[in-house]
Amino acid sequence: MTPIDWALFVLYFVGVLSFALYQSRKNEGVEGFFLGNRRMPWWAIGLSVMATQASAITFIGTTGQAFDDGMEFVQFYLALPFSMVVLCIVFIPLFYRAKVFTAYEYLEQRFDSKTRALTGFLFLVSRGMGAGIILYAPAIVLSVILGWDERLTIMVMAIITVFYTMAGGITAVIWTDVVQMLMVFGGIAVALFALFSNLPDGVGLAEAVYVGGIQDMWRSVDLSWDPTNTYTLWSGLLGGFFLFLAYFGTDQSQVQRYLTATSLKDSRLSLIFNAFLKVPMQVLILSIGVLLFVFYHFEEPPLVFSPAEVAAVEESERAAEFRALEEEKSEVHSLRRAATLELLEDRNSGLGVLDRQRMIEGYDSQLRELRVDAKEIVSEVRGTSSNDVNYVFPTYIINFIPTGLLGLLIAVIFAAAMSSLDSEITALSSATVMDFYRRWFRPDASDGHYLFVSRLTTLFWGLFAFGVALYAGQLGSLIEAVNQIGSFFYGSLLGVFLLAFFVPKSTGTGASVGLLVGMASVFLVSITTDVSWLYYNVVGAVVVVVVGMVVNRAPEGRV
Amino acid sequence: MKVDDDQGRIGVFPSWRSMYWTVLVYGLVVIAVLTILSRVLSFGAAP
Repeated sequence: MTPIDWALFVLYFVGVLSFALYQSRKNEGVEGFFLGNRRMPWWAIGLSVMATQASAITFIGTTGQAFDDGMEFVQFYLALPFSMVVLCIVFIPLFYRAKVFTAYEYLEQRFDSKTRALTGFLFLVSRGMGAGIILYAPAIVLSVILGWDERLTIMVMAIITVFYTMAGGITAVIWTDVVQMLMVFGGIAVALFALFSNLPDGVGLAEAVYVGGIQDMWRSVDLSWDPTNTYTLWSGLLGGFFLFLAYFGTDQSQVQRYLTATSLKDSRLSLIFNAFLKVPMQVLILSIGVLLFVFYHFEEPPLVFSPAEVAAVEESERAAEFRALEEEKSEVHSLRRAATLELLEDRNSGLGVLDRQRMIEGYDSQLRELRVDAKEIVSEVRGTSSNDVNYVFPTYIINFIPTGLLGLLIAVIFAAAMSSLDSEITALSSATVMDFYRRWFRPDASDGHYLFVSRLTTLFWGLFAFGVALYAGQLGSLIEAVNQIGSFFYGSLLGVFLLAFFVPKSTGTGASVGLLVGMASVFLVSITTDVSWLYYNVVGAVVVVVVGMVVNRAPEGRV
Repeated sequence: MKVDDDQGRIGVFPSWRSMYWTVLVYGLVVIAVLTILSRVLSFGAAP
């Protein structure tokens, strides 16, 4: 990093902190801290909703995933517009009119205190873990780019985020999210621009699209019916629909956002905003990954992108084997590069195009196999699965992004991580204080006391996330890890809310029993079948609703 | 279920109902466009 990069990087932090503290100066009491006194504009909430979901994991993990597998990950988001409509019609009005602080508080109004406590507890467990993983993701990037220790990076990020969240509450969080999300949009544009600039002379947009198309990397819709495959249209539409209902409708980190709106109309508009923008944004992020795949047809890629994984193998007994794979990779890459350039020169004439395409496909397959073999060696040497997919984009940034833009892109990755982390810890804090502390321990304390405790719990959850982040390196692809953690709880939580909304005779006992049976069912399905984790949300929700209805019908005293 | 209890225009949309229909149609159009692009941008030689 040059001084210009550092200057941009530091400027970002100073700017975000100042802006957050300035915007939150009018906050009053605990309602100001957790709900911004319900006066946030819809577009700011909409950007904050987007920023909360789009963490650094989205930026790093999905570009790496697209580099390996193409655009198919976008199917995961295709149900989002449909989920948003249901949320606007059913969920938001009920939460908004109930004047609650948390989603789980609504369940006490509708059912009873034990249902609120159980769902609140599950949220704290699952999102507490998730916050740790969100914190860990950019630490990977900085460990690669700056040569910093991952733990130091985690600590710096946690301190800054916790500081402005403690000081300004949800208002600071939402306004920093706005800045951070705008930076993410800028970062996407910069990354795409840099990728095109770094392609060889004569290789433009049309050629890049063509080269990616030879390996079907632009294929974003898979119409096959295979419940074990996470990335098909049907998995995305069915599993994704339930996942987004659960995430945006029952997760306090999202519900808290739209409860800060000045009106029901503004709450709804913030989600409609996401319904329109989320899929195009994801397409652009995934396109970065596919363009990286194209870029490395002309520039030799590392066999394994993670420096730590390479270093571990080189110090092991498998070093010679690994080096042999690297040599083979260099040879195959040279052949692929030559074949690709020749194909691009000749493709207009049509002569030998099919033969050259077959050759390139063959080289691509060889390189993929070599990469798989190398990652297997890494896994065996380190005793954990390789998470190399998360290093693909950072490696490109370090080696090919020009001065100035490098600092900006690093700040963007930080922005993406911090905008998710701040939302998580303020949501965790609100659930801790409102659903547990005020509800069970100090129901009659002063507003100032709750504000003090809210700041204290924000600090606690920041420290908790820090602790989890230290061990997050043992997980595989981060993006899947976060979503999988959610899937074990989300579907069942959604089922409880569906019971509350649509089954008038349902009771707290039915909901609580249903929730526990639903989670057990998801666990059972996960260990006994190969069904994709996206369907866990469907299983959990359906089981909770059915069990809840059965329990309600049982004669009194039997359950 | 009552879909729209906030009366009046929502920006360029005459009602919430029309807004929701627009979002649903948008979702379907996105799927259609991506499905078509998946086929059009596939240049592989393999059958």
